[in-house]
Amino acid sequence: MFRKNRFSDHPDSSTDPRRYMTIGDKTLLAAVVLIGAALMVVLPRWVLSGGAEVDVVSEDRLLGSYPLADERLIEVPGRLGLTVVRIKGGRACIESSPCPHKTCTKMGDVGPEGGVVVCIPNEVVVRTTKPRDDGIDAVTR
Amino acid sequence: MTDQVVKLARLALLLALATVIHTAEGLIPITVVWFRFGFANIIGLATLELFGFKDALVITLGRIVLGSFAFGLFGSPAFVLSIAGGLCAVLAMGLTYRFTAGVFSEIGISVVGAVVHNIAQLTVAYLLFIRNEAALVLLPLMLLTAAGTGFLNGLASRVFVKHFRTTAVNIPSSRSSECKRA
Repeated sequence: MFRKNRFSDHPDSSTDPRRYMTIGDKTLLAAVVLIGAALMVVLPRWVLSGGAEVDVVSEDRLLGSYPLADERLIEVPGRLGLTVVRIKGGRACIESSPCPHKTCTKMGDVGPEGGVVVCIPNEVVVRTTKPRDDGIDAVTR
Repeated sequence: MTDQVVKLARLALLLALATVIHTAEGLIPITVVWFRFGFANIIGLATLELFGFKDALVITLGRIVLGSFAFGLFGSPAFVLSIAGGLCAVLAMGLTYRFTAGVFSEIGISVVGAVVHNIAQLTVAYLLFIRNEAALVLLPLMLLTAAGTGFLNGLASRVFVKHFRTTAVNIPSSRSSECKRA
């Protein structure tokens, strides 16, 4: 009727956990606990380390998103010509612009707290975003 | 013939038991115990040991479906997660049981089942419902609870099987002398 008891030939097949856990059991349990504990330290940093990003929009099209953490110069083609966006030290600003008044270059910089730098004549928008900052984790029905 | 009937009766009993445990556990408020013990897997593991992989699969999937009817959750996200976790856990336990003879006792197999159940659920939840890497932060916590609940369930399963084999559910076969006396 029943399958043969595969475990009964263990010398330690009592119901006392101190005696009947095999070496395999103990190794597995220790491994799971150790991996769990290690991941507990490592995983949150690894997963949640994604910092704020800079969205670059030209003429209503999103040209790209760049992490604020990496220093770079981005040349953005606009209606009048090339706008140069600089990301440095965790902040983004418009470095140079082909527009007549250069107001955008005087707007300062924006950081992870959020903000926008706009060049209206060249139709270039630089805004910082946090990844998924809509405040919603998940939607379920 | 008789043997098959007796086997069917016992499997039915195991399925009923698994469903009741599954449903009863669903009544525990999540605010009190934020994780599931997975006590129903005691029966799944016992079935694997007593009758083999196919029957364990039927019992596990059966109790999840029946349990979902009890709460009206059939087809809901919770049900999808349950099925994914249960399916993967039974597969993993069956494979471990089949191919690592002598390495693990029920405790080891139960821990494998619990860990795989959690990983499968989290993966499916991430892929289908949450889509936010922050959900993965739960993984280490789930692994630690899996170690604990897997250990407990393995222990319970061993005791359960021991009694089920001998005394607890003695359905006499019609040819046994016991039955003639009755």
